[in-house]
Amino acid sequence: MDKHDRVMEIFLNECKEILEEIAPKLLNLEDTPNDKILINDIFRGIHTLKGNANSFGFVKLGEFVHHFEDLLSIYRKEESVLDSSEVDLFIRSFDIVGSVFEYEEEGINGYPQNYYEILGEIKKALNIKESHEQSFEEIVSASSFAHASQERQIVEKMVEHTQYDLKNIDGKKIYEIKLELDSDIYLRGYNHQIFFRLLENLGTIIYSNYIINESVPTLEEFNTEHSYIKALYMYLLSESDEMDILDIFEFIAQEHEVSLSVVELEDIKEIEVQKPINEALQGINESSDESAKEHKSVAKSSIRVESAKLDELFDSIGELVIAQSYISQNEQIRAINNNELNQYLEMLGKSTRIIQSKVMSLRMIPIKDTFLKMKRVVRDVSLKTGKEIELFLSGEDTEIDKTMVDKLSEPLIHLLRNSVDHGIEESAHERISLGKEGCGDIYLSAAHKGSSFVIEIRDDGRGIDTSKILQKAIEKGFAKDNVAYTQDEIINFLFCAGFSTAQTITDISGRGVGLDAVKQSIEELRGKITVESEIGVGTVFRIILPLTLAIIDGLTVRVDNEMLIVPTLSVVESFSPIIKDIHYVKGEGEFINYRGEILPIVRLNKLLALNSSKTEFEYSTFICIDHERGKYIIQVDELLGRQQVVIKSLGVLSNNVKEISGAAILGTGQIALILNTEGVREHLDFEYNA
Amino acid sequence: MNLRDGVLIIDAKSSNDSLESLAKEILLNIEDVKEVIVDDALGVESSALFSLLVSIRKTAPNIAIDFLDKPSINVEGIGIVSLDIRG
Amino acid sequence: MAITQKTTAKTKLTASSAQKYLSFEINEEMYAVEILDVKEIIAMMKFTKVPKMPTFVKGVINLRGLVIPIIDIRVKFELSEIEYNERTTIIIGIVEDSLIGFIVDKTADVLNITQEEMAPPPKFGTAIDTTFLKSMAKTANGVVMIVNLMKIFSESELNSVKQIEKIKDIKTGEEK
Repeated sequence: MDKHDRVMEIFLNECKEILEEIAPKLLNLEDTPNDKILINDIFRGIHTLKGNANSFGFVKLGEFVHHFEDLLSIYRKEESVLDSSEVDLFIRSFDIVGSVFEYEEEGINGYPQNYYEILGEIKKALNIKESHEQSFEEIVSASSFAHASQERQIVEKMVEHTQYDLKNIDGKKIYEIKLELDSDIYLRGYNHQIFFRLLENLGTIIYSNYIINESVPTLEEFNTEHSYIKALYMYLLSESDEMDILDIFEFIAQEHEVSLSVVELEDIKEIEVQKPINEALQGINESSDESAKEHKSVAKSSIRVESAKLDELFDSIGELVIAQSYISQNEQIRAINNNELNQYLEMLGKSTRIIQSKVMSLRMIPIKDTFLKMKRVVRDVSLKTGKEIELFLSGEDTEIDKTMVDKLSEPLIHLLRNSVDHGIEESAHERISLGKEGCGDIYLSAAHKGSSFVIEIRDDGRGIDTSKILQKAIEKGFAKDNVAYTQDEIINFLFCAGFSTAQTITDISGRGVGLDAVKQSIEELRGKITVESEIGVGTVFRIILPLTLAIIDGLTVRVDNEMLIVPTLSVVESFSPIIKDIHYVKGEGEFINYRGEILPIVRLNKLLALNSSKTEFEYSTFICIDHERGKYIIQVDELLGRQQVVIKSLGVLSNNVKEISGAAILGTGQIALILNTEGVREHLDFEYNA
Repeated sequence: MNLRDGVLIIDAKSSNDSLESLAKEILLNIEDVKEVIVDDALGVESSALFSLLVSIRKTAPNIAIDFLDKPSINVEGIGIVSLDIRG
Repeated sequence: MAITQKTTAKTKLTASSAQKYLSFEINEEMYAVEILDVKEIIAMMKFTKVPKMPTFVKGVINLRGLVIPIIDIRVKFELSEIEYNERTTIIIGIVEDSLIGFIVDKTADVLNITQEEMAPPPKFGTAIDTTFLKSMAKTANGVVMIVNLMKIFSESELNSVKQIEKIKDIKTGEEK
């Protein structure tokens, strides 16, 4: 890859990031069209995109975003509220930005569909709006400045200390510039004088407010390598364009958040509202214990790391953990029983765990972005179906392994479409007649439960009619006519390949792939999906996933001379069998009466062909495995314990054994295979059908 | 260090390094300091000065610091400056 | 096809000089693999059996935290199995970016073999299936057969193995 390609890659990535950032903001704008901060954020993203596009010769993209930016900039300044048709234009324009970007990225000739159409709409909107645009002076005179000056001491001070009469600022604007500073700015050569000098070239700084962290130490520990200034607000009276001002900050803008906005003179009162310093200082002494925590609120800086590097790091940590547990469990080392040695062993163990959890956390990201994407999905489906839907999000900050986040989008999109399309009643009228609100509610939530990550998609729709499902299942040959199925078993037919309850194939959820695809994707992530439904009340789809793909919580069991790991997520319980509960059915196999249910028994040593010798049931341990096609029992020789293990792939062998999903290295260095409970179930199903 | 009759005058043109050594000197003579005045006739060189003032206040709350006791002050070359101490 | 192309490319790189090969012994016959395809050699170690594998796949080993499958070349070559001893060696080979261990009776020297010493593999008269052979070299120490690791453990073969296993499954299922 030559340098140009690398730069190009960085650029493309940056553009993608910007696009991803803007998308949810636009949707939020629908709810709060008057949120100027939001519009500003979107504007800034589009502005950067324009700069990037132009510097890389992406003419189509540049042309479009140029006009889009102009349109946004109007709404940014104007006091009028955006209406939904305008937000809609934003969203449609943004879609074009996305597809033009793809055209540019792939080097496709021509223009995406609707490019000119929407560009035309933007230009039209620009013409209208430009004639309406008020001059800044008009806005100033219309604002409550006159009163502010009487009431607000600070404004008086401004007037007093600057030679400007703020009542007559000649078309100049007052900019509020907020600069967030990291604690190591001095080490990086920050010099505030330079900024002040550059800003003075553009206008007059009339006021600056330093936000100093309470954690300033006493003189004993005072250290100028560390900056305690968290943020700096500057108010600049200038006739320059905002971009000229932002340019000054360009070279620190990477690390520090700079925000810029035009101050409504009314807002100046905000400046003045500040605690008298003495009062604040009293607070310092009381809260100095918390000062360590306060560091967190200092602007965060971040670096970008290739995920492959993280994976390598993660692998090495896995080995470190194994080596550490080998050392700590080694009999010979334990036999030394030297106090000092034990102390160091403990220290090693502790640091290893800390490193492991830190590295784990590097891979963890909040589910937020994926959830925000879902807003768009629901919006689109709601428009298409004409059903009014409100989507409620919760637990967006719940963290999950990054590699899983990427794979969650598809199943979530599918389930949400499904909820809107099949879950919510056909019309608001129908809902109202049932005593519900006309608008359908869908709740998308995420939470950590133990070592699992749980996502719920809950709707308040009509619920799943199991009698219809069963009828269909029988028609399709999934179910037998004369068998009594439990509600859960019936609902599970939904996940059979080729099962679709939609009366007509709709554009929304009937795309040939059904819930079976969802289930498959979730299982690939070592997770499972459950459904709860009540007629007339609604349906809940629950996705339960491990927190990470790299580690699994499992029971270590011995089968013959081999160790196996049984994923805890699928274990109901383990128990010593009572012989009289075990029955042998000729031609069918062995079963046990387990809490009133007759469950099949799988002898693991036989299944895995580890040894031909039969272990007597009475000397073995049974583990009940949960599976949506029915629980089953596995017979093992001994249950050794429960532990978290790092999952290793079997590499070239992995596709060959469906009963094994991978391998783990135990503290002793021995390899234990990880049982694939799904594969074992398939084996059972196969035996039954044969 | 410019300390006379309990009045410490800090040169606002001090660099970060001299502010740091100044902090040590002040600490040694903290008993004698009654008041701190910032000489900003030539502007403020480093914003660490502001942190230093807060640090002095934290070490010896009884020392009068002109800069901190008013809600805001006019600093040569910067304009009106106020310090806001927050968590 | 792709395999031969790759080989010529490699050969070109070292066309002027001899190429290095790691030689090993199986059933008292000399074989060799290109040293570029070898990551390291280790003594035979404890391994974990993996169920439902073809007989030549002995299981997996833990090589400093990596789980690596090992295959017994003797079994693959359809020779009689011998008990592993202190001379038994695992050659960790690089096959299509993955590491695979090959169990051999013992390893010998690293040989320099020039292009001139190479001859196409014999069609008959060897104890083993000639499809695993790349070529044959006549060296001072005698005839050395150059083995194609990729062939020994190719993806397609494993897939077919998988199908065989499936058929077996069905059969055993019927028997019940």
